[in-house]
Amino acid sequence: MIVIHSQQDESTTDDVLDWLYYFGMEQVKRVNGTNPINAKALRINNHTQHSNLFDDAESSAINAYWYRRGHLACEISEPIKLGYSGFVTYFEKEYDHLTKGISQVFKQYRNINSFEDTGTNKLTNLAVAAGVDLLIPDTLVTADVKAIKAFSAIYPRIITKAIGHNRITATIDDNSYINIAVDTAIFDQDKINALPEENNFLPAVFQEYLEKKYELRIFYFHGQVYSMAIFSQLNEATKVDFRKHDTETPNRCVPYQLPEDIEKKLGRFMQHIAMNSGSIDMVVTPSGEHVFLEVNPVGQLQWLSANCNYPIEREIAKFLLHDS
Amino acid sequence: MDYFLLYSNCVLVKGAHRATLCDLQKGAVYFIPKPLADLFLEDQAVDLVQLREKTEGDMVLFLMEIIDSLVENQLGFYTNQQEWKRFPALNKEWLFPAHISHCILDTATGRLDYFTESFVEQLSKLCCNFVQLRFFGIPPIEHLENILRLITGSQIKSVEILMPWNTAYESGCTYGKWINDYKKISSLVCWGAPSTCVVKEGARAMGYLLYTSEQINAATHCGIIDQGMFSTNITTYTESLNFNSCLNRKISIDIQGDVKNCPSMKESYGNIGDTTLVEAIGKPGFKKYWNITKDQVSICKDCEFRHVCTDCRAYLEDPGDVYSKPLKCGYDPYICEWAEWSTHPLKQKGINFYGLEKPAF
Repeated sequence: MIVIHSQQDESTTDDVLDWLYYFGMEQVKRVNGTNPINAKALRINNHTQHSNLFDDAESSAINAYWYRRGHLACEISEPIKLGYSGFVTYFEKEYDHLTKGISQVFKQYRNINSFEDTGTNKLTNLAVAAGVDLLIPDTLVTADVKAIKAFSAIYPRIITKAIGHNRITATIDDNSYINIAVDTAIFDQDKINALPEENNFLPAVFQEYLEKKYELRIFYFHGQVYSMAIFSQLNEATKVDFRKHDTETPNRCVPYQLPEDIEKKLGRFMQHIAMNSGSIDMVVTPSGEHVFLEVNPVGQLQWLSANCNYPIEREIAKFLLHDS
Repeated sequence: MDYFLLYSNCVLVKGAHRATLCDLQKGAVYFIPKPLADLFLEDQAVDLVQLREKTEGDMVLFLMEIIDSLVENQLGFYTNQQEWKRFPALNKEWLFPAHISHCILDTATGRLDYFTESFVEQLSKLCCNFVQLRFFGIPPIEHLENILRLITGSQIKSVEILMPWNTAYESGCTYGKWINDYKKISSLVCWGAPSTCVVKEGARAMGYLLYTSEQINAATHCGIIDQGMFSTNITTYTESLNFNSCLNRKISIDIQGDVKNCPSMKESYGNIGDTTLVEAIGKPGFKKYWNITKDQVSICKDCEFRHVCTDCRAYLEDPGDVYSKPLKCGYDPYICEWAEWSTHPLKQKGINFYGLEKPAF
């Protein structure tokens, strides 16, 4: 039995499933994060760890586990939500803790990622990357305007981004909410100058703006490395952040061969942060330096495999089948 | 910057008289004159120093201008030998997880009575996710909706439907309703319509409703090679490098219920009434055309369009030669000109052989 934790309509999961079926595997359990875990049990004792999280799948029958994306749903009852809204945060924290625990249990199987990976910390990751001698952009995390001004004086341009979460769902009232994207943006010098020094705001990340020859998207997967160069500089819309897709004139995306030493350092980095699979973003500067930006455990893969004709989905399937 | 390097998903395909540059990422085809095509190293890069040294005066300027325009059109970039190493050629594997990729079902009556739950199960076992239904007679509404419901609940990802246009369905808004209700329809083509038009524009290759005034009333309509059928993408390109670009992993059932690799071919591998799809595929000969690549087909192998083109082994210019050029292709790669195949003197032998004397269009 192969267990896949994903979301509905997640296309990479669909593609991997096609390969699994092609290889004749039918014992696949896909959980789309919609199963409430309220009715599930996790038993821990000296003999066996048992969970009936995946219904008919006995833990002992599970051969491989892939955490692709998504959460496990938790159901908080209406009376609690309406009458004791102050408790909701507590409920959510408890559910979160349980989900992480379950995720750990599933790590005992042959696995690709775990739910815990989604909590990876971009700041500590930068420190770990620097620790394995990967180049990283000079980074300041603060809300202190004086520090920001001093930092911006060192570099021709700086950028700003969120520390950990780049999507906000902001509740307006009971019936409506808005989604806000907190994307990477250039922080203009005149805006920095205009900041009143007594300002009090949320700490954020400030980084030197890197001139790019091209950007790299690298899929690391149990020691295998698939790299793609993105020529984002040909296009004004994607110059700062290639994720701001331009569907009219898509960026040129082609296979890239990382220098051997960079590949080794990325391998060491992933071992240090104990993540067996992830999508790594890097920048190649005009002088040819490779600079590490971040790793995303649940990144887009189709984009790489489709543009570079990499057999990523097939290799994931083979890994889950113990065939690699 | 002493090299010009193509982006690796822009591939050079050399023909007898010129080459094409196929942009597999953006789906466009450009022409490259032979003198420039011949300068490419490993079909990837041009050594600009060598170009200047080995080419005669005016030609240097001409070729450099073309290269400049290729850079401007974002098909390649200037680089050095060091950097070239970082940009490997595209992986040439055809990555398609299916024992059968496409299934074509023909019917003269408008009924496909074998299309049941167990038939869908057979397709599922073969990982066949793309189906084409060709109705040469009007399908009863209830019957087709039954089929579409089965498809909705199955692993099939998309279905293309061809059927005769008729006034009753038109005035009953039946076509539009099907497109709206059944999201797995990639296109519904109604032939024999009063005019040719796109009735409903789909999105992302799904949900198209098209009318054509053409008469698509028999399997003999297949096999036409035309620039409109070119598809410039990695899947087509890699399949054509490794397999036959029409027949590989295809299965079909003709109007008699005979299971074939292609409905236009004579060879039958059993009738769907008493043969399973897996049994038919397992019979000797079913896959005999699957490995005939364009690089092996005479004339096609000299054609600059060969890796964006489809193929046809059902109708051949020389019916006696399995490696013969498709009969219904009017392109001559030696002079780079298209001609009408059906009136071409050299095609008459093949046209007579297949009984195609009176094309219905």
